[in-house]
Amino acid sequence: MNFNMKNRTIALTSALLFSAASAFAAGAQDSVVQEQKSLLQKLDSLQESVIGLKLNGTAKAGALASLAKSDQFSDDSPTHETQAYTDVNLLLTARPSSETMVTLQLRLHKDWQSGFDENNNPVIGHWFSYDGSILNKHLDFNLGYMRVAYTPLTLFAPQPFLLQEPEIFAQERIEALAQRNLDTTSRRLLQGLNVDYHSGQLGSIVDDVHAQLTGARLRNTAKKTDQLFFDFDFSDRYFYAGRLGVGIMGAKLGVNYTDVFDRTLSRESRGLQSGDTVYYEDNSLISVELGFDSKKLLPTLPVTFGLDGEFAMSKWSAEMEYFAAIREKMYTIAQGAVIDENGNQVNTIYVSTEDQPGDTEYKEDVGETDGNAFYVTPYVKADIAGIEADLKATYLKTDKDFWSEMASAPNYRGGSIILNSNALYSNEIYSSAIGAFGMSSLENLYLSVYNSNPLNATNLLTSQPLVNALSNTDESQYLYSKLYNNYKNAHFYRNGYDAGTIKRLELEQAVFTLDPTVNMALPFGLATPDRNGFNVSFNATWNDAVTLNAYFAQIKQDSVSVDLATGAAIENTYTEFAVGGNVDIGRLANLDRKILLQGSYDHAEEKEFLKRKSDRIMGGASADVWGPFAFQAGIQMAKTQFENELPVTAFSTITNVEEMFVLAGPKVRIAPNSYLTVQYGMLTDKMNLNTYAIGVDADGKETLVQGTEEISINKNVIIADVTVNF
Amino acid sequence: MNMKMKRSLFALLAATVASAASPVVDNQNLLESKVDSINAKRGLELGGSIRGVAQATYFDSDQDGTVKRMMPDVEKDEFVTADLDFHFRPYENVRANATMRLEAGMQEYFASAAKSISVAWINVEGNIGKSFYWIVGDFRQEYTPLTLFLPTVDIMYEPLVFERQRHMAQKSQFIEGNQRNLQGVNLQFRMMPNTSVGEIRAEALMARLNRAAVLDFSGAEGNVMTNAAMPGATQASNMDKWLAAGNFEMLPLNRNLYVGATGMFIFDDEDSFTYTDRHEENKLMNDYVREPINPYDLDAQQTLVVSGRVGGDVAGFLGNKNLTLDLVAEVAMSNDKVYTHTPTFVQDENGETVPGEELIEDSKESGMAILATLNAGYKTEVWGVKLLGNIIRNDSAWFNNAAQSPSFFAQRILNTDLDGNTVKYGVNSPLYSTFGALYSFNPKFSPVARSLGTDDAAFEDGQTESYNIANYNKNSWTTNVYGKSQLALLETLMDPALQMALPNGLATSNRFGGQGTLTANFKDFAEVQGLVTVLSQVKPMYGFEAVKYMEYGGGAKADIFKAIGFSKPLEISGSYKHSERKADLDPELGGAGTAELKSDFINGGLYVQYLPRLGVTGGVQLINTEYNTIQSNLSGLVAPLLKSKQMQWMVGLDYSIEKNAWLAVNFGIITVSNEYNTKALVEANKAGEPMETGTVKGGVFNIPDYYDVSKDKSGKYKNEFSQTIIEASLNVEF
Repeated sequence: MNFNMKNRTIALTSALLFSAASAFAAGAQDSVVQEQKSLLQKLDSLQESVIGLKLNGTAKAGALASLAKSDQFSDDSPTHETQAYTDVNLLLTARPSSETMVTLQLRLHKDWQSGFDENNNPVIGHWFSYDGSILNKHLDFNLGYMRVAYTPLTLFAPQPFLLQEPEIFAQERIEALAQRNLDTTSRRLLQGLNVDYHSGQLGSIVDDVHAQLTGARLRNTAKKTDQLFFDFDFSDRYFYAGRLGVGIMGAKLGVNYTDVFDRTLSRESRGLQSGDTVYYEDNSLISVELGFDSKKLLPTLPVTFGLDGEFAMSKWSAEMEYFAAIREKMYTIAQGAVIDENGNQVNTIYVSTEDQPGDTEYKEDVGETDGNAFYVTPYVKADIAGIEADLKATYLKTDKDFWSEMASAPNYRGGSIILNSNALYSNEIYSSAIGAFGMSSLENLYLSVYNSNPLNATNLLTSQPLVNALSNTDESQYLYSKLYNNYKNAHFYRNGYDAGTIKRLELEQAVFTLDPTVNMALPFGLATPDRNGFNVSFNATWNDAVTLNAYFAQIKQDSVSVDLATGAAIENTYTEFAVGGNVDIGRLANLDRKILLQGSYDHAEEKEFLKRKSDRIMGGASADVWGPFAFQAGIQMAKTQFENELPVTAFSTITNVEEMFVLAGPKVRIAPNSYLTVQYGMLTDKMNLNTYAIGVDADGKETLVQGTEEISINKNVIIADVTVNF
Repeated sequence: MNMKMKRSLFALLAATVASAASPVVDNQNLLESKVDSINAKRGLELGGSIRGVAQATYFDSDQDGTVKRMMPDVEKDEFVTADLDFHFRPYENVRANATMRLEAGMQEYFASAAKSISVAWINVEGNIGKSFYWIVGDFRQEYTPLTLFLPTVDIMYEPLVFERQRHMAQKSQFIEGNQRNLQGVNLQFRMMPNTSVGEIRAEALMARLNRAAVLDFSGAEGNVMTNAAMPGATQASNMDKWLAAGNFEMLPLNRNLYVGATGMFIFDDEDSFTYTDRHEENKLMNDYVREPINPYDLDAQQTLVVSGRVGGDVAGFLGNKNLTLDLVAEVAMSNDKVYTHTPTFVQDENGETVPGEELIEDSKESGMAILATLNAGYKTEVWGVKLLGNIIRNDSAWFNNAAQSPSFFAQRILNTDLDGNTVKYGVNSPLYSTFGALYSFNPKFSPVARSLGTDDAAFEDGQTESYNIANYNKNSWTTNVYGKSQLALLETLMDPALQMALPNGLATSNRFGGQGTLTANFKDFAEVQGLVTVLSQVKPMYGFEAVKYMEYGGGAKADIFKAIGFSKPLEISGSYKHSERKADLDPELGGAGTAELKSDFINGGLYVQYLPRLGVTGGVQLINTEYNTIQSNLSGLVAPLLKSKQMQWMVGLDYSIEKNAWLAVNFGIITVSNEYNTKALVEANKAGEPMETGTVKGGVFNIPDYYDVSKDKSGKYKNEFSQTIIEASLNVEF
């Protein structure tokens, strides 16, 4: 604890507050912004130079009640689900020197109740890292948790495309992401070591020489056989990467290399059992990036232009290891008796064959593919007469067999049931469809549940004893002798986001569960395989008060599926467009408060395959009303059509999904950066299904009977919480 | 990278295409948050407590020679608990508090299993001006004994050596006086406009008392009675249970008059009724069945409690500082939804009669509770005398679990490995002692499996009927808010030596009578006290014509060294308390006679300091409890208890820094002698059907497994055992 700093910080604080106050009195807003920025830099440098231990964090306490209603619920279904909790994210930073810093984040969570003792409600370590900027700030390093991005084709986290997302929704999404330790940037969350060297300006020509090395473990094997946790794999999976780059006169050239592989030997700590199959995947990639920005050469021009481009070559291979039962013929010599031609019994010997069961471990290649990807993004930016505008176009082409795992997996997955997950349905069709498809996009994008529950037989997963934890996920026959006296809690998520990367073979199974309403054309960003097309975006802002955005994309996929009749590949075309804008009336009218209105519409569709069409319209308002009182509101409607039905279970398909989420309420500032928020939300989710069953026709023959069903669930959501940042 | 991460947290909106807020506002927010963050270094306070106990108890009984004992008869509880309180005060009017509990068992062979860090307490709080205070998260609150209250157990002149043990056990459970620990929102408004209007207090709270969450029926925690398929056995709730309360108090005329009103609503949110899937009877070979989380308590609580009270401080009016004379009267009403379940029978397709769906009817039941409290006394610089009197009249239908849930639920604590299957029966388990329940605790006890071997199969055989073979918290002290059926079950598990007359405090239902305590002191070194309680049941229990309670006793303490002018203390104390219950059987129902339960509790204590901070403590406690034949037969047990004699003595050395900071080393012995009526066992044996004892089956769980029926000639069995305790304790609160 940095107790001896007390007096000094008080003095500094007063000085800074005074400076800030006089800055506001100064008048012209541009200069205010400049002065604010300068103050922020001072504060940053002040914070960063304090050596010692610091404790900061966020405490949040409140409730989220979801009152659901649906004709498809069974009569005894629970319809209310209330999260009532206190949650503290404690941030400890220790600075052994001004150059390096240890960061530790602890999460403390309690779900309100006083009906029984909760004894061991653990403190969860949320973030551990040792970071620094050494060698006169030329070398940055991160050890432990880190967020790193290289380029869109190598190391990257694609983000959902949500144009002019109302602030009230953005805040909810940020919170859901933060529970998973994620943020809205495209940096990927990793655990390992990252070293990043920048030379800075060398002479008058070289802007920068850049070298970076990154290594991380992505997965590890289960360490216990009796408990299955969600974050393990059958083998350790590692990632390493490096990049080199040079910048000259505003141009840059770089080479990037990444490799992800399963460490086969780590699987061998567990023996394979009959029926087990394990896949190992290796994915390496080399890319060359090229860029140019005119700002360096022509700094005085109000218009800058430039270009970013990258070409990448990927290599992917997989092998499988499995244990299978075989039957071998065993030959033995046996003695017997036969009747000879005279009718007498005589002794003889003969060769007897017998089937002998046996188990063998096999290892074989699944496949090896190479692919290339390429994109180029020319852009132009202008800053004229208070209007800042940029126009950007991207042409991209990726091979069908291009695969870049570290740039592909989006953090947003969807497909979960976040609220009222304990609801019961009146028939199997509804429950299995919801179980497989989850709730739709909006609930997954914006709502999340975090609980600390006592470990008990229903949430303590156990596997067969004395058998490996590879593929046998049956319950342990000793389940009831491994219970914890309701003594120990564990933290549980219900969240549409996930920090993990996805292997290519896993993705083939998971592709249907990805939410189609965001990034339909490029679900894995620019690294999406088998794409060829372009997109154009235009953004313009006037005086930070009025913003306009527009986006258009047309992208082809050579082979989305195969025509069953001819065997020919079916080509798909994705078309996307979006427009949006915002107006800050407060700024326009020169008021000292923000009154921001936002709105956008986007549409995406595909020509073949499922023939999906998705529309999203959203609008929002954020207004500082009076003193500490602000009001926020947002509405969002999303609609997805599957002209060719989306199979979700063996007997049902989805044809249409319509959703709406309205969220509004006051936000009261109770202290700087501390708020009381009360929000009411209405979430509606309607799904149309086609159902299939085997019936009997008039002739008594079995026939396929098709029907339709609609699942409609409305949820009234009440959110009330207090957030204190310290 | 964390520095960047923190910055990005603030810049997140800008990072998305989503929003483009005004840079001035954004920067202003950033500036304020950073200034605020720097301020936080100013506003950090650390507090907490450290408690360490190393205790060994050696069980011994001359009678257990016939049983080959497989379980250890020595229990060694060694632990250190550090509660670290963080108080963050980033700004003048908001605060965030978190208490982390760090626990370590004293061993180093496999460290990870013995250490844990848990979240004990978290909240955010703040104030608006000087009058309004709010808190969200964990909080404590007490209104009045009939509304919101945590009833406890009083032991007159409890020897210091034991009081310290109880202090540690209660603190381990975060108990502070009679305040109830709740989680939710608590708002308080205080204002004193002027002396004639006096002080105005307006308070409101909303707390969740239970949440729909699955618990194992087999766990030591989360169950009133482990593995028992009966109402009240499990604390798992099918529904979210909420408490909403408002309290208004006015103290006009310079705080000499008092007017107050409280309204409380305790309800289960029926729309949150949740089901779970379980293997039937916890057997894996049985299929999963969908059933309510708690299949034994299906009824939703709906209880409305209103209370009004008036009071006056006569001494305050008179302005006499030597006089204490105040009176407060409280009237409370409860209106509770009660349910009747009637089994129905239907004919199945084969024409056989089978149980049908239960017929559930509900109605409202109202109850009234009255409490009048008088405080009278007079003091001079030399002597003082004070009288505390309570008169209560609580209907049998009076119900308020926020005031009736007791803080003491007697548990088997010491040497539990020995009778692991039966410890769940608490006071009725064969090796129960009141002293163990009152004074010992272990926040992270690791039980021994009941079979040797460390493989899975041995572990399966090693489970007990009272707990899983896993850590649990052994402690009789609690702040749980129990449900109606849980309270009913608790009533059968009360320790008669401690909780006979008012097991649920002054809010105990079905009581009428008074209680008086007279205390007199001479200077600050001598004090005597007398106590009388006379109560009866308003509506006698079914089968009885009248049920009466009587408690009387007295005690004294004196600091002899202080009396003769020494600076260091030599304190002696002693007390005697008699409790009894007499229940006359109802002649109209054919009953005759009186069921009598009598208990005497004697305390003697000594504390002497011979060097600065170094001292000797000593204490002795005796409990004699007797049941007459009718009373003992009421228990419904096959072999009911007739007499129980318990004694505990303990001596020790201590190093005291201040009241709640000490290091002590103590040695003591608990001896217990319980006499049972075992006629039924003897007769069953004679009939060739001997009954097993010390097991859950057959209803003879209260007799130890070493009982030998062949030696039982008289049909009376005396179970005698002792527990030798060696204890070192450290308690520091900072």
